[in-house]
Amino acid sequence: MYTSMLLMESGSFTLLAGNCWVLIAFPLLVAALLLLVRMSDSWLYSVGVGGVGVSFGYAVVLFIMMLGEPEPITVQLYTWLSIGDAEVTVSLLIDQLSILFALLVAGIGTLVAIYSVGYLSDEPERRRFFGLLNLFIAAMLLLVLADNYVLLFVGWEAVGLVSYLLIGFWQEKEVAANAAKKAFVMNRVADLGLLSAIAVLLTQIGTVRFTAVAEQLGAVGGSWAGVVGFALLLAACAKSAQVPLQSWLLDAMESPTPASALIHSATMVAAGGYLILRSLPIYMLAPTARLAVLLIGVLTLFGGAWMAATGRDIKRVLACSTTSQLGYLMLAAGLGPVGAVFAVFQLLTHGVIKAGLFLAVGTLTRRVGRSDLQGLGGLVKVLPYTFVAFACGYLATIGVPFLSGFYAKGHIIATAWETIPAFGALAVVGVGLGAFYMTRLLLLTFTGTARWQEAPIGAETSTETGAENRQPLRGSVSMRFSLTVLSLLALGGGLALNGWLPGWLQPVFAAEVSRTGLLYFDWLNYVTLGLLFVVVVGTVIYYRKVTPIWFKAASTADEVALVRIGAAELYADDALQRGVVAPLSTVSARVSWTESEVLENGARHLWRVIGRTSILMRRLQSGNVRTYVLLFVAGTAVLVSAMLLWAWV
Amino acid sequence: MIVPWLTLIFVVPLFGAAIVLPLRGARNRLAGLIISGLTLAMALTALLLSQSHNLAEQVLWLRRFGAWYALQFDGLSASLVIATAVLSSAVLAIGLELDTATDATSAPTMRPEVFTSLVLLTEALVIGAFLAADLVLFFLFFEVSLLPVYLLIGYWGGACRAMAASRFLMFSLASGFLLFGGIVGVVTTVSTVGRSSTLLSALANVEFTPGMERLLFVLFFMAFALKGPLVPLHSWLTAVVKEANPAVSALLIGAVDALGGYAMIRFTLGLFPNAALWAAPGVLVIALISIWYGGFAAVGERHLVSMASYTSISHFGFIVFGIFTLTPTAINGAAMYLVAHLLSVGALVLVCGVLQQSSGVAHFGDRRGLRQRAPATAALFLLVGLATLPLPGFLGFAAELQVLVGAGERHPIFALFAVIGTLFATVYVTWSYQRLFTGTHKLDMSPTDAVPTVRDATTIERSVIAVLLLLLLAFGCAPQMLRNYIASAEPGTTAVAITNIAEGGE
Repeated sequence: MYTSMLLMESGSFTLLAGNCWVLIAFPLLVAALLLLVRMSDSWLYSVGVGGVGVSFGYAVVLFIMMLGEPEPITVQLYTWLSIGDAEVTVSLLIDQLSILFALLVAGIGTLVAIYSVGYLSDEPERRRFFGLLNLFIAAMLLLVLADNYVLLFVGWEAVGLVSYLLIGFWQEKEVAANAAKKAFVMNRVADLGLLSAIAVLLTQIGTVRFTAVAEQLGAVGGSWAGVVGFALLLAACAKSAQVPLQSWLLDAMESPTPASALIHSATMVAAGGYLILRSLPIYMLAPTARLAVLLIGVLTLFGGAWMAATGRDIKRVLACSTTSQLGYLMLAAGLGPVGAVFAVFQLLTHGVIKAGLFLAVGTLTRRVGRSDLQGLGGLVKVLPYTFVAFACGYLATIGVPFLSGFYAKGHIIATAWETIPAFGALAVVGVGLGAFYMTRLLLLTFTGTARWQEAPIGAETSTETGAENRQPLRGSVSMRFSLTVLSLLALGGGLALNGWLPGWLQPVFAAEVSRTGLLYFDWLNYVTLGLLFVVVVGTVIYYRKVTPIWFKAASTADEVALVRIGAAELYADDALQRGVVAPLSTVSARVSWTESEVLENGARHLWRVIGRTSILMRRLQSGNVRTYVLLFVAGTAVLVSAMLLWAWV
Repeated sequence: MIVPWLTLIFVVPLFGAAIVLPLRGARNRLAGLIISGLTLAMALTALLLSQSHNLAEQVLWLRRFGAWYALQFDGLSASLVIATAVLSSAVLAIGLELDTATDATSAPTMRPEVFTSLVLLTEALVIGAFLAADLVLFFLFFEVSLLPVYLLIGYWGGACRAMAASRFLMFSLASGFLLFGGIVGVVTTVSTVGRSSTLLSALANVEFTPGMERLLFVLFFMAFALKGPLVPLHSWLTAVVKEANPAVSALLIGAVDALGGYAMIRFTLGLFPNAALWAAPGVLVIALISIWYGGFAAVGERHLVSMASYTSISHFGFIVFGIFTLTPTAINGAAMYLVAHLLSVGALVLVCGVLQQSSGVAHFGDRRGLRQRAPATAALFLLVGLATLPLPGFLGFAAELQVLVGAGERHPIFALFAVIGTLFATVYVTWSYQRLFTGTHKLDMSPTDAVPTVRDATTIERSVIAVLLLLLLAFGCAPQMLRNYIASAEPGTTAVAITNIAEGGE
C-alpha cells in the first residue's frame, strides 16, 4: 500500500515510523464511528478518549525511540496528484519539530478528552463532541506531520472545519452560529494566502516539499520568496489570530470550553506559528517578509494585551491573552533560526499553560453558570482547587522564575534584544502588560466580593449559556485529573525543556543557541523581573485601594478612550463590517435586484410583447405542454428529415 | 463477435425508457433503477475493456456531408458518462418524492411512470452526446436531449412550470440554432476543402481561414455558453430551477449543463484552437465575471435551489476560465472540475430538494432551527456544501488546484481573481446553513398556514447523497487515477488543440 523511504535500519522503529499514518487514521476512524453510530455512555467515553489516547501513546513511543536517533524520516504513502510536471505526494515527515507538535496535540487532546468526560456528562449531544474532538486530532496531526504544503493545507482546512463545527456546537444559539460562520469565512479568506503560495511554488519550482522548497526557491530569485512569504503570513495571521485578524478567535469562545482549551488556545491557533517555523528557510531568503512577521508579532503582542486588559469576559480575556502570547511566538519566529527555537519553546509552554487555564475556567463557569467578570469574584473560597490550578497557570504565564513562561519569554526577549534592540525592549514591556492583565483577571475572578449570584447586568451575560444554563456542575475526578497534570506541566515544563530543546531542534533550524543554562541572570532579565514585580504589586495595591476604572466592567469605564477601544476589541469587527462585509452585501443586493427586477421582469415583459404580436405565440403562452411537444417534435422531424433528404439525394 | 459496447451504454437506458413505461408504482421505480444501474455497469465494463481494446465505433452514415455514426470512449468522455449514470441513478432513486407541488393546481398532470422514462431518456441522450465522436451525431444528441428535459420541467414542478419549461425551450433552441449554424459553416468549409467528413478526428486537422474560424468559434462558444450557462446568458436557468422538480434541476444543472462544458473543451477548443487563442483574453474576462456574478447572486438569493443554480453558474465560469487559460494543466483541471461539479452540485440540488420536500422550506427565512428536527439533512447539506466550495479532501479541490496552477503559469493575476471569486462559496454555504438549520425551531415563521410536519431525510435519501459524497471524497483523497485517465484522452482533441496552438499560435 505504501513505500517507505526510511533512512535508518533499526527494525521496530522502522516499523513504527513507517506506519505513522496510524496516528492520523485511528482517531479519524474513531471520529467516524462516534459520529455515525449510537452507543452507550461507557462505550462513548472509552472510545472517545481511547481514539486520542492511542494516538498519543503512539506519538510517545515514536518520540522515545527518536531520542536516540536524530535522523528525520519521510514516509511516502502515495502520489496524490500530478500537477504539470510537479508531483504532489501524500507523505508524512517525522522530524524533531513535527514530533514535538504531535506530542503537544495528542497529549493535550487526551487530557481534554478526559476532562470532557466530566464536563459534558450532562450534555445530550456529547457523542458529537467526542466525535469532533477525534476528528480534530486527526486533522491537526495531518497538519503537523505533512511533509509538503498541499497536505498541510488539507489538514489546515480540516482543522478550520472542525473549529467551525465546535464553535457552533450549540447551534441553537444565534451568537454561536454567527461566531462559527465568522471564524470559518475569515479563515477561508486568509487561507487564500496559503493556496496562492502553493500555486506559486508549483508554478515556479515545481515542488511543495518543505525540504526541497528552500533551496530551489533560492535559485529562482528573491522576489518569489518574498511573495510566498507574505502569502503564507496572511494565512498564518488568520489562523493564529494575529492583529488585525483576531476578532474571530474572541467570538470563538462560544465553543464548549474544552474545545476552546484544545483548539482555540493550545494547538490549532499555534498552527500559524508552525507554518512560519516550517517555512523559515523561505523567510531567510526574504528579509522583508521576515520583518513583516516581526512587526505583526509585536503589533499583536500589544494589541492582544490591550484587549485583555480591558476585557469583560473571562474566556474572552484568555482568548486575548492567547492572541498576545502568539504575538511572542511570531516575534520569535521572525528573528531567525535562534528565535525559531524559542518560538517552539513558547508554542509548547503556552499550549500547556493556556490549556490548563481554560480547563480551570471551564470548571469555574460550569460551577457558577456565568463567565462575565462583572459576575465573578470571591471564588477562591468556593473553588479552592480550581483557584490553585488557575494560579499555577497564572504564575507560569506572567513569567515567574523557573516556571514555563519565564524561560520561553526570557529567551525570546534576549534574542530580540541581540537582533534588534527595539524589539527586545518592546518585548520587555509586553511582559509588564501581561503581568497586569493576568493579575487583573485573577483578582477580579477569585478575590473580592462574590458577585455571581447577582443578576447579570444588561447584555453582559454568560457566553456559554448552552451548557451553563443547566444545573451547576461540581468538578469530577476526570476534570481534576486533567487540571492537575496540566498545572504540573505548566510549573515544571519550562525547566525540563530549557536545557534540552535547543540541542534537540539543532537538526531542524541549525541554530547556534548559547543560552541554555538553568540560571542566566543578566541585566535584561533583572529589568524584566523588576518590571514584573512592580506591575503585579502595583496592580494588587491599586485594586485594593481605589477600585479604579480598570476593574469596572460597567459602561462608566468606557469614558476613558483607552478602555473603550480595548473593550471594543480594537474595532476590528467594525472595520471588517464597514470595510468588507457592508460593501460586498451592497453589491450582492444590487446583483439580486438586477436578477429579479431587470432580468426576470424584462423576460416577462418580452414574453408578453411577443404574446401580443402573434396568435401562435399566444397559444404557446397558454401553457399547454402538448402544444410545445408537438411543435418541437414537428420542428425536429422537419430538421432531421431535411438533413437526411439532402444527404441521400 | 464484436459487441458494440459504446452503443450499448446509451441504448440500454433508451430502450429501458420504453420498457419501464407499463410498470406501475414501486416496480416502475425499481426497474428504472435497475436499468440505470445496468447503464452504469455497461459504462464501467467499457471502461475496463477500453484498457485493452479499442472500443471506438465508426460507421459512415450520411454520405453527403460525411457524417459518421462514430462513438469514442476516452478519459474525458468516459469520466463524464460514468458520472452522469451515477447522478441519473440518484435522481431516479429519490426524484419523484421531491415533487414541489403544494396544491391541486400544481399537481403533476402526468403519470409518475413517465418520469422514470423521461429521466432514462435524458440519461441516454446526454450519454450519447458525451460519446459522440462526430459533429453531426453530437448535434443530434445535444438537440434531442432538450425534449425529455423540457417535458420533465413541464410536467413536474411548481405552478408556473409551463412558463419555465417554455423559457428553457426557447434558450435551448437558441443554443441549438447557433450550434446548427456553426455546424453548417463547418460542413460547407470542409466540403470546399474536399475532405468531406464531420468526424472530430478529421475536423481537427482542417485549416480554416482565420475569419471563418473566428466566426465559427463565436457560434460554437455562444451555443455552449448558453447551455452552461455563462453570465449574462444565465437567466433561464434560475427561472427554471425555481419551478422545476429539484431532481430534474439536479439532472439539468449537473449532467445537461456539464455537456456545455464538455463541448467547450472538445469542440470549441478542439476544432478552433487558433480562434480560441485569439478570443482567450475576452473569454477569460467573461468567465471571471461569471464566477464573481454567480457568487454575488448566490449570496443574495433567497430561493434554495436557485442559490444552487448560481453556484453552478459560478462553477461553470471557473471551468471556462480553466479551459481558456489554454494550458494543459488547467484544461485537465477544468475537465476534472466538470466531473466534480456534476456530482457535487447535483448532490447539492438534491439535498435542497429533500429539505424543501421534508420541511416545506423553499426560501431562506421560511423556517429556522431545522437541525433540531432534521439532523441528518443538516449534516448532509453542510457536507455537500463543503464539497462544492471545494474544501480540500473533496474532488473539486484537486481540480481547482490544477486550474489555479495551470492558470498561474500564464495569467497569475487572473488566476488570483478567479480563486478569490470562489470564496463566495464559503459565505453562501455557511450562511445558508445558518439560516436554515441553526437557531431554535419556530413554526410561526412559515409563510403558509398549512405547515407540513418536518421530517428528517429518509434512509434512501441519506444513502443516495452519502454515495455521491463518498465518491467525491474518495476521488478527492486519491485523484491521481482520475487525473491520469482524463489526461490520457488521446487522440482526444485536448492534446491536439494544445499542440496546434503551440505550433501555430505562439
